[in-house]
Amino acid sequence: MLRTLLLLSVLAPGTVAAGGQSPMRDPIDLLIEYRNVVERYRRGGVDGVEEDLKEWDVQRVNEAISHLAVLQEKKPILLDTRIGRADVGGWSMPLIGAAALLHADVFLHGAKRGTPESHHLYLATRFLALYRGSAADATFRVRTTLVIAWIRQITGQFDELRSELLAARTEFPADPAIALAEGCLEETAASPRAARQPFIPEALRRAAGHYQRALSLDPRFAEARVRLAFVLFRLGQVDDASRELERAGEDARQPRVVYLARLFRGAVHEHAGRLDHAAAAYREARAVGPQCQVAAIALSHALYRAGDRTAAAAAGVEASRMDSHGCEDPWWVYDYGQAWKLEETIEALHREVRP
Amino acid sequence: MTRWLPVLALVMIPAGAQQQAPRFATRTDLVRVDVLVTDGRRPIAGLGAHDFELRDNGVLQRIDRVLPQQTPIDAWLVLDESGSIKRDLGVLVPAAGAFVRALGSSDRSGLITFHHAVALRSALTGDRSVLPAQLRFARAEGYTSLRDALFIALALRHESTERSLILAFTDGADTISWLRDEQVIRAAADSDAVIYAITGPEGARGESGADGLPVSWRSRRELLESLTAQTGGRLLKAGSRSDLSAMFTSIVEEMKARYLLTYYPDGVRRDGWHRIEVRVKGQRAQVRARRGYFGS
Repeated sequence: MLRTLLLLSVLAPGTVAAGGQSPMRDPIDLLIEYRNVVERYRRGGVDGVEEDLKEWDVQRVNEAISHLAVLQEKKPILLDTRIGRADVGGWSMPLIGAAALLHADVFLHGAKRGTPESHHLYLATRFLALYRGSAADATFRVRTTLVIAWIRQITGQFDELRSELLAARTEFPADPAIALAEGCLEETAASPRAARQPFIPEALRRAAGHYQRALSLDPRFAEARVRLAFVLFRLGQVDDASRELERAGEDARQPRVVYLARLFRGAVHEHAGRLDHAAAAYREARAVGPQCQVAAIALSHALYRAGDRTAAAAAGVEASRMDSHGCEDPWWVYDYGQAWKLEETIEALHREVRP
Repeated sequence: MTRWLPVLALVMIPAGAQQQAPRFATRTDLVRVDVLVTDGRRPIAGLGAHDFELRDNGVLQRIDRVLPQQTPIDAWLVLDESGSIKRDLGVLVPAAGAFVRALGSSDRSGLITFHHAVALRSALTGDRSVLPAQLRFARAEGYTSLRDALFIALALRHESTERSLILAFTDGADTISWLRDEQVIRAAADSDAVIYAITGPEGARGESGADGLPVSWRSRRELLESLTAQTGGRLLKAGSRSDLSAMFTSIVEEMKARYLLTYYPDGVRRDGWHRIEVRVKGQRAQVRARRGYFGS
């Protein structure tokens, strides 16, 4: 995952790849041809269509999308079906959803190989914009929206991400994952990786607001609570952070969330000068991620500050001898929000679009 | 004669001092100060204890020892192997070779590299072939955890009793460390290691990390300036990649030209920050030394 994130993150903000000029095609023929590509994806995944897609430049796909958009505007009933109609080239709402997923999936596959093509992200959002109506599955739409959002988070396309998440929030005001994604966006905007200042308090306050909203929608959303705690800590609201971490401890189940909760608890203790408690928290984080380096470095630092230089050195040696491939430390990918769920979410969505 | 003075100072402490704030009175409180003395360009050699004046929080101190130049050094190379140094990777191996060749026969060297992870590639060793060989495994990928790597080097300093040099090379701003600037700066202030840093030839262009996003926290330059100034080292910028070997060598030579002063703090409070000031008596000289230390 980290390698994928690394490859994605060096991608320049997406511009639509230039395509060659293709002659005007009969709209239905075009739609039929492209439908066939999408159907092959539904059956066989990305491996089955990557070669096919090389025949389709952006302009051709855009043309197909534009036809669908016109259909949706003028005769939405033709597309708002679960079974494709011949008079629209066999397109249906599930197929439109599959097309959105196809392009997001192709983008990610390219990224894993080191050759991400940003126009696929653009095409994914265009298809997703068409995916609506009674035949559209709201959950599928939310999860595909999140897939695209996570990709944008990694690649630093914050402006596009902000506007897409705002639209998603308007459409799905009760979805805690959307609220969390908005919080992650603001938190990343305030992070050392993106900010021009040591941190931006306003962005952190906005992040806190989004996380609190996520928790109001789902009080047991442990990741939102852990992130809220860390944001509060960075804002100097240490007691509030401490309280949130204690609550998160009751609900956190996923190892990476538990790890982060313990790491942050250590930071809170260290800030308060409770170095023994900090060291204990870092050791607890290490128990969850024994091969994860960051907790070991944090432990070394707490011991150093406590004056136990021998133990600090030993912990430092242990930390720096860890195989970095043995654990993708959750801290390394913290600024990418829930992008750690990218691959598993795409796989799950693909299972849903399979005929 | 100077060896008796600390013992004598213990005996002659007036009874009234016992009612004052705790002051240094044990022999475990030796403070080491690594000092570079130059005429503005070149190191000045041949100085002794009588040439130096050292103050601890403004109070003149009796210098216990001045260890001559050429005292053994334990030298850590802390090298960036994140994606941002891809272009520099080819020159780092010969530069590391130049670094170890410049060391003396009693000196040891160790290697720490970092991208998003920090890796101890070699513990301190007198074997000159190890560092260049280990560096050949570097891949130039990933993010930059400069602060965490520097802290690890500072933590490992305490495995050794020799003088400590930490030479860091980086061409990207920190994008992923857990530790913050102030934590690493504090750790450096708590250490007698001397930190030198070199930034790459393209480092000034932007503050981007490997991911292309603009970065800060504090700018990389400010952090390295703070660390090198705090410890009495220097921050240098490579004009071109071909400069690196010569720069690594010159830093070792400069370290070898330093003096190690030691003293037992006297007449000052034990705890808190102790500002150290060192000057050379009777001549115009530039002195570079650690700014101080935290008493316990």
